[in-house]
Amino acid sequence: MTSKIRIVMGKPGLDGHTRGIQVVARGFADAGFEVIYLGLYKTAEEIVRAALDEDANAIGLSILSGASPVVFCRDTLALLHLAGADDVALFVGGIIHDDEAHSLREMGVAGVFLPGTPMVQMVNAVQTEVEKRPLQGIGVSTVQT
Amino acid sequence: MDAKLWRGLGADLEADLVLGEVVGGGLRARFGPLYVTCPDFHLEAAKLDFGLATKVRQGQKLAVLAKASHEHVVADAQPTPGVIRLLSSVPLPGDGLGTGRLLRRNLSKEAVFSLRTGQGRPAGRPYGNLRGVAGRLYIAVHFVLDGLDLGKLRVSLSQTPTAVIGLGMFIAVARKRGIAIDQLSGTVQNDPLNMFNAEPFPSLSVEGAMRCCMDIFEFTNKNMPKWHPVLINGYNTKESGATPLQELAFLLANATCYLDEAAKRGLSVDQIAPKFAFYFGVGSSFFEEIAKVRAARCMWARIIRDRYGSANPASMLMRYHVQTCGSTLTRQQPLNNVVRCTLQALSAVLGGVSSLHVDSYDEAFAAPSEKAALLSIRTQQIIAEETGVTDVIDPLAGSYYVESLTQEMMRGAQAYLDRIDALGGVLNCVKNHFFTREIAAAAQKYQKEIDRGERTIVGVNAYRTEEEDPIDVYKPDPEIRRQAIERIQKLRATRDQQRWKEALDNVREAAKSKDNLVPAVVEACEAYATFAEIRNVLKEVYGEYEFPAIY
Repeated sequence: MTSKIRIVMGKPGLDGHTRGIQVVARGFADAGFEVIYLGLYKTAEEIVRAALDEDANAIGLSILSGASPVVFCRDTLALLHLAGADDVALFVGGIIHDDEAHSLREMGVAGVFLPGTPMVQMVNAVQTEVEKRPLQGIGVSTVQT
Repeated sequence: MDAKLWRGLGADLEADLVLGEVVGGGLRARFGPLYVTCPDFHLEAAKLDFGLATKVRQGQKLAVLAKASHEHVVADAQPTPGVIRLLSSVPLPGDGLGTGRLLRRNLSKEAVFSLRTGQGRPAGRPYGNLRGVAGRLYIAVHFVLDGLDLGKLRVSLSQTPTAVIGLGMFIAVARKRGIAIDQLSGTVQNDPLNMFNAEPFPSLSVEGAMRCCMDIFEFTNKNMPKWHPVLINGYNTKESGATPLQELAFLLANATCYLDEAAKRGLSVDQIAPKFAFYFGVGSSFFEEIAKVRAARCMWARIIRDRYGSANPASMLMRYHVQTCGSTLTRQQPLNNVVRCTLQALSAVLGGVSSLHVDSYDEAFAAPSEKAALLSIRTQQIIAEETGVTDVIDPLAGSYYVESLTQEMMRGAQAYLDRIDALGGVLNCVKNHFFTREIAAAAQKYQKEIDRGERTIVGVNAYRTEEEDPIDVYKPDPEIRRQAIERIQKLRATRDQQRWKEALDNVREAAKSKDNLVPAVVEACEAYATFAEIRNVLKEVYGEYEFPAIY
């Protein structure tokens, strides 16, 4: 008996490039994840709220605008922390500078996926990370399969 | 350093030889020798009766002669050069690839508005927790265009969701400088249909966006004879995952929708179609991409002739810009991207282009560095001036493979067009997200092919190297954002509040009425209303489009 991983996905900020997140969301769904795709132009508040509402194990963000993901991820992690939801793993992918990728990992982003990362590698990374940190929330509604 | 002319290449803009058909009023162009191997060329040309006399034998150079009926065209016997373009979107002048700087150096003829501007969200005002690049406002448009002769420059304003505001600002700048607007020459993207399908910028509702779009058609047709009111965009469709076939079919479908909508405003096909500009992405599938653009020219001519009943060569002519496909660039082994871009550019040139942008090798890391952008221009110059491939028009005509691929592309695109008609037409398909779903499915398929190793991407799923040398990448200067915020704050503090308020009220009234919006928007720009302020008024009246969260 395994519980399905629930991942909330969305594009933060001013970024209209949807192809990457659509493809990754489909890849996660095909791997058996429960994907809650929020769409575009989301704020950190909207993304965190959705993750809490959906009892998600993980959040996946895609940033292809060239804007720095550092501030956004810091805000997202802070909001998760405030909500007592440090157990939700944050992943980010897209056009990210190497030094930014380093800062993101330092601040507690669970995975940074740069262009060309194979789907299977992303699936494995999310699975491994989620197994490391089972949800602590009350009445966690992981779907039993 | 100046953008050099594409020797001879422009000829195919004006006179297309497609599938053995001569398309368009090609007599204006300087003809290079046409080398044609297509045996039925003569028949096709005669059938179309474009007033061209031809004599051709298989495998011989072709002479195309003008009949007297086209003398007025021949009289203007200037070669029309192709144009080397460089999309320069980041950020403001004074910084790296600032638009104005490149425009001033004549490296770029493209003014691209940032997403923040496109959305109408001003610099310096956070939107929730959203953070983007520095915005551009009227004052910034002034700034970008500072020192440039708007009467001579041909600018492409790559802006759709609020194209009416972008154009309004451009006109306002021109008026302030005392330039008659009928002298302005350029293009505004103004392609809401593509935006709904594949370029999800926050937008007005379908009805509102089409209203603004058609107001631009109407206004420019009446007042700006040298202006192209739409750049019908296949590129974003392609980059969102569409196959070359889908890109072609959706672009043609959208173009017919614009003609149909324009007809409702009383604009005839021969008033509007000659002003259309098109925009393709050319990716890595070398011959398929060539077949696509050849099929596009031919199908467009036939659509104009058969669907709209026009025999005007100027309407049948398809002028288009090509950009190489950024989505094919890899972060792994980035210098490989130079080769990818070069092959794509060559494919575009062999297929035929009016203007071309070549992407840069570092775009999987950041917006291009100046060094990388310069290499993109050099790539074009080498193709244009060293290889001789631009000496002939449609050099692959008659190749059994290219011709059969072209035919296949035309059949496939026609099947899509029929399907779109059967689904109730383009606007219906937009509202039902037909295009978005088709494109997303194609993107998924492409990625799965890579994941399974069925499609090789060198350096990504094959021929990998463990250690890679870092490359220099562009980083935006945070100072740019600070300056933009400062400018907008200063603007808000110093503008004439009464005039500003009245101008916005006038925009609201115009939006509610049937009057053309452009004059009211220009006046609002002249009263220093910002993008966001004008857009918000339009949003109040028309509502916003909700993009579907499809994957």
